[in-house]
Amino acid sequence: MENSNYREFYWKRLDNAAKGFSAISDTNNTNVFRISVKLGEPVLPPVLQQAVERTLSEIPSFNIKQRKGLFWYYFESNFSKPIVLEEKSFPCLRIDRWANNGFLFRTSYYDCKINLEVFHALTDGTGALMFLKRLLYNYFSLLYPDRELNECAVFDSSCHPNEYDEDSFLKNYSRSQKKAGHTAQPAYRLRGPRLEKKVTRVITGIMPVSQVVARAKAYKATVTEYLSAALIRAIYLGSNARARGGPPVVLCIPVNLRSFYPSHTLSNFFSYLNIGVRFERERSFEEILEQVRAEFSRQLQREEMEPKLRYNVEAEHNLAVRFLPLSLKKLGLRLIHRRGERGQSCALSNLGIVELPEDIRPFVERFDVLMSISSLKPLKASVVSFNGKLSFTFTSALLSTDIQQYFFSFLSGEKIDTEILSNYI
Amino acid sequence: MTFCKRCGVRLCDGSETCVLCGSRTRPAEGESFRDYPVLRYSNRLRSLIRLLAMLSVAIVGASLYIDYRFDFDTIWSFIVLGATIYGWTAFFTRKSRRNIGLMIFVQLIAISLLGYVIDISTGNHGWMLGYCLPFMIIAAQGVIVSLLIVRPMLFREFLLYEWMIGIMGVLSILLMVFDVVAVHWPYITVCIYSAFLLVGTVLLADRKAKNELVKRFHF
Repeated sequence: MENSNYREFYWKRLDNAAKGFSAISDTNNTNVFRISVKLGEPVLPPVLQQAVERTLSEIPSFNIKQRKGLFWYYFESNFSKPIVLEEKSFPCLRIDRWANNGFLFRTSYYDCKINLEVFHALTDGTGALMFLKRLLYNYFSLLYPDRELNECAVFDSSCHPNEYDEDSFLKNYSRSQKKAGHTAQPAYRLRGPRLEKKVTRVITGIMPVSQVVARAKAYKATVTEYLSAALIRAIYLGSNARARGGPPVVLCIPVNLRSFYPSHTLSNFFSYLNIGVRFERERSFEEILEQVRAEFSRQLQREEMEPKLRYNVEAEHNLAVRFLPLSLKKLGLRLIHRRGERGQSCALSNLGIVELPEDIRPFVERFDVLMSISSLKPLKASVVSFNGKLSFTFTSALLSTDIQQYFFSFLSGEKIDTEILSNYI
Repeated sequence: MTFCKRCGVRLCDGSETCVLCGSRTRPAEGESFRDYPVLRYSNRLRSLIRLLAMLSVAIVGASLYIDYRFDFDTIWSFIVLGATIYGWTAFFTRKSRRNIGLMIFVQLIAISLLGYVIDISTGNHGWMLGYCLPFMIIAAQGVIVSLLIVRPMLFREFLLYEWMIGIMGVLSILLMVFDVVAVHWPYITVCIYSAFLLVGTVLLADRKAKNELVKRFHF
């Protein structure tokens, strides 16, 4: 009774990034990302439904719906049941809150695969992964009730539960930090005939992590730097020399700020790097990689993240912005977002290595991550590794597959054994 | 599985053409599998909507022309225009049928405007503003308050619309104050009724109402 009374009055302001995502999202820019997990056996829908409901009761920050206020969106408790459906549509489409009982995430399944699609206002990749791991634990606990499985702990006993709900942007911002400007130099834009609206082409390359790491080490680079350079090279080649002598090819690479600041939040807490290479002449892969490494080395510092953090938080707290009605704020934020997107050609998100408890690992074959495309970035890429396999996924609205072809053929030329999966578009 | 010699990759779904370069593949070791359903995008609904939009433009255009050309006693083409706009409003808000409060509010505004257009087009007898509008506001509030009583768990969903319609009801007295309407008693009735319901909502559900105000107006 007490719990339901608390839930009835519970509400939460959106974090800094969530306010932006809520304002800029529409049918063409959904800001929905998907994390899929492929199991060793077909998914049982009734068990999955129970597992989702159980996980929601354990992670209340997902058990919410979004409402509109006069000045900002906000979250409040959701008393409906989550819906689990078979996958029958293209990935990363807008989450229809009326069809989805108000939830900001969508769970679906196809054969041996469980998909978790999340609207970015709810959480980032780290938070979504935490939810998915707990979901897997609950799923297998229900499927095999006689087995005692190692738990995927959600909450760290060393910190207060409130820390999982905090706005870490606000907590870690400081007026003593330098402040960034928000002018973005225009980047090379991916153009070309597009697929129909709402149709997304997915091409995933699965390769052994050890081979990718070995090749990256041979170039004295990290895996992210190596793959970023390969992607920039593929975009340049796919441009048919249109990128030569023009604006740089720039990748937007999200960075988990939990590596730089102490935070346990399940809400968004990330920043991004803009890694660009200008092609005033033909460049070899080694030259591209050298420039990428230099950019990473320069930008991946806490001192470089702080100005952006300060800019975003202060923009949110500006009195003129705060008292602007939401409908006008949305227009302004969309213009600012569009201006920022012009400074990026493509995005590459690396979720890193997924760890699962030993008992659950044998049931899981692979993880995949998919990002939604946008009108100015019709091609995006994402990476995740699990159990020695690295999944590199392209989501694209472009008719041409040249960039994907250049990318994967380059990796196969580097003697990386690659298997390709697609969604048959 | 199949192998593409040009790209140097294996294709997990065993397809005969490479998804990257389109060239023919050759068989390779390993079992084929699929991770995605085969989907076909259907454009039929979008094509139908575009056809209906074109028809609407044609019908409204023809009505306006015929009305202007033959100078009838009533401006019936405005009724056609108003009904078309109402129809499209109802179509685009069809998804809000799950949000009953929003649907009632939108329908109240849309039907009021349509009724006003019909009244103006048929001689401006004042029945819309004089009688229909106040009683539509009373009916809309009545429906929402009934739903609040029957389903108190949906209080959060309906409160904002109940307030918006209630404020409309109270402010409608200005139509009487500025002599826009000749009949006064419907507006006195709706003003008192709306004020009573607004005060009642705040008094009877003070904690919930206050919480809802804080959430909706937080900055």
